Amino acid sequence: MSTRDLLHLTENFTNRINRRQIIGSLEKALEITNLVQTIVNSTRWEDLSNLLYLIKFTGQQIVRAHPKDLVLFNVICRMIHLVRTEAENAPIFQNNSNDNSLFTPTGTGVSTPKMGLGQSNLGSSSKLVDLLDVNLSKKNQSSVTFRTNLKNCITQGINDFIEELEGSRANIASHALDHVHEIILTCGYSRTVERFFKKAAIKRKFTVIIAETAPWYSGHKLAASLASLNIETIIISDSAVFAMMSRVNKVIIGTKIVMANGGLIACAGSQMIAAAAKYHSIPVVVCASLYKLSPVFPFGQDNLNELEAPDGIFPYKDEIVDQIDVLNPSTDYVAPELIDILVDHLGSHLPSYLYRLLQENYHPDDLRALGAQL
Amino acid sequence: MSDSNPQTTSTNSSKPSAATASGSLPKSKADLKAERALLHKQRLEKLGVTEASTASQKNMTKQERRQLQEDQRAAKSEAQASNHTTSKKHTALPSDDKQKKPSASQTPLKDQVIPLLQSSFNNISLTTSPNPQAIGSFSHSATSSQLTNSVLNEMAIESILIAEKKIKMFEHLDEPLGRPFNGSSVNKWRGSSLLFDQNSSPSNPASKTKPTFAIHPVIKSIGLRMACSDLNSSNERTQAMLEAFCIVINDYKTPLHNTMARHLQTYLNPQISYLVQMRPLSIGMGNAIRWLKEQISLLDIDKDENSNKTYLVDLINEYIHERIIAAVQSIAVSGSSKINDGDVILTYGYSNSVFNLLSYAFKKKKTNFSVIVVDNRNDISGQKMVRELISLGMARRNDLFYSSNQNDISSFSIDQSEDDPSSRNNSVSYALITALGYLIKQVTKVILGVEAMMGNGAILCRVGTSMVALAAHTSRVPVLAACETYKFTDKVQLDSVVNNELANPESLIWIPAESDQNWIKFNSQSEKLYLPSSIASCMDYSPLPSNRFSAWPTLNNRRTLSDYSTLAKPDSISAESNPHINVHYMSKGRAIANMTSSSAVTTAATKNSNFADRASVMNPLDKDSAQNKWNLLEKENPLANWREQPNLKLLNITRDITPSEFVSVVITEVGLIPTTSIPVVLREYKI
Repeated sequence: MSTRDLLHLTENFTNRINRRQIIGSLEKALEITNLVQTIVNSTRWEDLSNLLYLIKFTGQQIVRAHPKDLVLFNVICRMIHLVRTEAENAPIFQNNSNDNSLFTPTGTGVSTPKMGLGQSNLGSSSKLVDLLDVNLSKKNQSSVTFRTNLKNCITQGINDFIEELEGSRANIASHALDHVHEIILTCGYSRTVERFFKKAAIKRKFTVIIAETAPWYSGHKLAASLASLNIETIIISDSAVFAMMSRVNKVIIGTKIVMANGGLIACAGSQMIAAAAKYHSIPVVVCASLYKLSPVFPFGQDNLNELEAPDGIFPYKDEIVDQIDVLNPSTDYVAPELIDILVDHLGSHLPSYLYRLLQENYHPDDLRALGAQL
Repeated sequence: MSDSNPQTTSTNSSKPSAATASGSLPKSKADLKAERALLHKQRLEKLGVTEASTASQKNMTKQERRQLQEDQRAAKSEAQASNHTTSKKHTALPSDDKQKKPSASQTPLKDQVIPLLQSSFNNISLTTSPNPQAIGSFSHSATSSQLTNSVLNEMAIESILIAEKKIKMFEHLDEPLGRPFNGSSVNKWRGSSLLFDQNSSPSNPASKTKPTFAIHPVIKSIGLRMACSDLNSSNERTQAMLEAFCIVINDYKTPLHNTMARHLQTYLNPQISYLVQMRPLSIGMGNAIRWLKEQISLLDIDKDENSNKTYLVDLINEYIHERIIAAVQSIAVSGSSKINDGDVILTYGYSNSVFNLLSYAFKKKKTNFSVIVVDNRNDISGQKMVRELISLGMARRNDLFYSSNQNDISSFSIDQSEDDPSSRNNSVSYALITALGYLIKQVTKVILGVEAMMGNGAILCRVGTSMVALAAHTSRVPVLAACETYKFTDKVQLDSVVNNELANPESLIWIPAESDQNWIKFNSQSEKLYLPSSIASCMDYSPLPSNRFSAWPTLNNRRTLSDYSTLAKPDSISAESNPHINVHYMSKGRAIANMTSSSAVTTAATKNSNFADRASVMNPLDKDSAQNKWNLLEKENPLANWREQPNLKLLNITRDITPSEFVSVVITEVGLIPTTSIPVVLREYKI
């Protein structure tokens, strides 16, 4: 596959997102993973740096096309990280380069808090690629076997990742019984949350109060789905959230993105729900798969927001619609102090613990390379 | 042929089925029957038809015959309806195998159904008897009687549905205007009182013991308009009520051997309870009524009636002007002093006093501020606010947005004089309450209208107010509440569940769309606000089924109330103008049946004889396309079939309580006070 083909593939992907042909963060994540898989399998890369460059380049194209869609950014960063770690752990390296200083800085560095995101760190990691380059050029003679070996390793890694993605909802749902009981309030439509409730409904009897989330009315969809599963469902308007909150035992919401500080970019209305819960001292549980965890800090929350058309809010037929501004933000930023627990497929975390997960899943270099596009 | 015979035979015929139906509840059924027989007897006595006279049916008046027919019909339908309950029960039993507590889950339902039926029995007279000509003009009387049967069936189904869809937490609250249909209040008031005078309603057992009075047409008019939220804000409602009382007092004549001070009160009481029945009184209305009663009791006995009347009317007018109109103006003056240049004011929905405040700041003080109107999507009163603000002349400066030339803007602003509104940027924005989190960052002040100030400093207002106040509180934006002192009360309320007003739950399913005529019409309708002060207009009230506050059995089942509105006013805009509301929210089977059936009007046995669906009757669809149509509908509105989802409930509360700590200051006509001073004001001013 030539570079032009790759560009074409990337453009096709971004266009499909533009056309809303790929909806839902899981679908997007899976598509990107497939794209990376294609790059690994079909492009002509010589060595690891070459491959990483290709993936980064593709990632930059995608992120530039959709700078607000952090899921894309997250998954690309994770893929690069994944490729790198797979390469590092590949047996071919461990055999050949144990004597080298290849792992010294990173091997220890990753786990130290110094590597925390946002700091400009050791610079050792950038050296890593150079070292690899040197290393690989030495072993040019065995490059074909090396390449197939590495490819297999990476494919294995990607397959594991796909498994993680596909199983994330089920895994999150397996924690449902720890959280779901009596009266739950939620908003919008998140398939993760839907799954969560469905799992809990097998064992427990509870009531879900759903804020309908105008003007998309995604709450209606969730309600219809839950009610068909014998879960008692009550729909309220978004304005009644505060009034009902005093009777609620727990708030369980989904989210679009989890920011690096533990804050959320969630559907509009979430912030008010979380704030109302805070006022009534009611725990807020957020269900989010790990790929939604973004290494980006929420400086400039409005950059991540989108104002949508006033369709369904103010009638176009009314001529005064020209003279007013109809505001229809699609997302809300929910501050981390309003959130009690984040549930992902590994278990439940405090928002303050997220930095640890970030370190495990992302590499600061990639963030820098791609973050410039944000 | 004796008069009572048909009645007894029909009850006998209904007996076996009723007995089988209510095997577990023989007592209540028997009680019911006894009561019915008694009622019938009373009715006959009242009509002057004694058992002995046994006038032949030919000699009876039209009304009497109608009465008789109705009795038979009611009894028949009672039997049918009880069949419904049994079938319902049987279908329900196997399905909920988890709940093996039939005694707990089913008896309350049935308890409800039976009185519900009884009330619907009363209600039927509403659809038929007051306007026999109208029905006759539509179809001849045989069909009409069959129609009533199907209507009754529908209502029985509806009532079961309502009982099923009740939310435990809110069971203590009345159904929204379902009160005529609601068993618990069947003895308090009759559904037929919508169109009947209470004392002419012959089935009222109270009519013997206690003197009752006709409901004055003005009261009926405003009652109905309150019920359908034509009169919505507290100020409007209070003013309309007081003005209506002026008319009532004008028309009132003290009977012999009575003093006005005593008798007028007893005369007013049923009028007030009629209003309560139509919609719970707001705190302000309650306060006004208390004041009025006190004034009446203080009337001079020695004065003649006319001077007393004029005295009272003057007092009421004074109250309206002093406590409402002048108060709003003075709030506008003192509140607008808190708006500075460059402020971004956020407000919620429409409030008379807030609008006056903003318009004073804009028109008189020429302040340069912009307004964000946040709205609740059910109670789209914020759109009214936006319209009125725009009609004041508030607008963003277009050149700021549209001219690319920077110099142009600066020269423009220098050239214009300060007074020219175009030099000011008073932009108006509109958003739904979900956008609050995004909006609140740019807001500098929040101004809220208030329906009532509680003694603990809490604000009772339309639902969502507390959300706005909370958002402002959490982002440290001052909240100003504009409230006239007549809305102060020493009652205390801590949360919104204890005491609330439920609105039509189906309005939650209604999704505003461009194609929906109702969306915009409902808004523009508010411009012609009738108060009883323009008597001519208040008389031609047509019970337009609004999609929001109208009785929800009506919305569910367009065969009941909307029928009679179309009958009463065949050319009225109600049913025809938004046909898809009529088709929408019926259950799937019935909707499809409605779309497909062609002979619906003529075959009375089918349930589909719906006048409102005439369009669909004219061009019936085949089954497949009807199914497709429904699927499309369900796709765009996943809850369209909510009535057939037993676990799905809708809750539409209309009020909430804003805790006092969210509110920085209350703007009243007595000045700017903190929320903690409400009891002080009440005490000092003896409001």
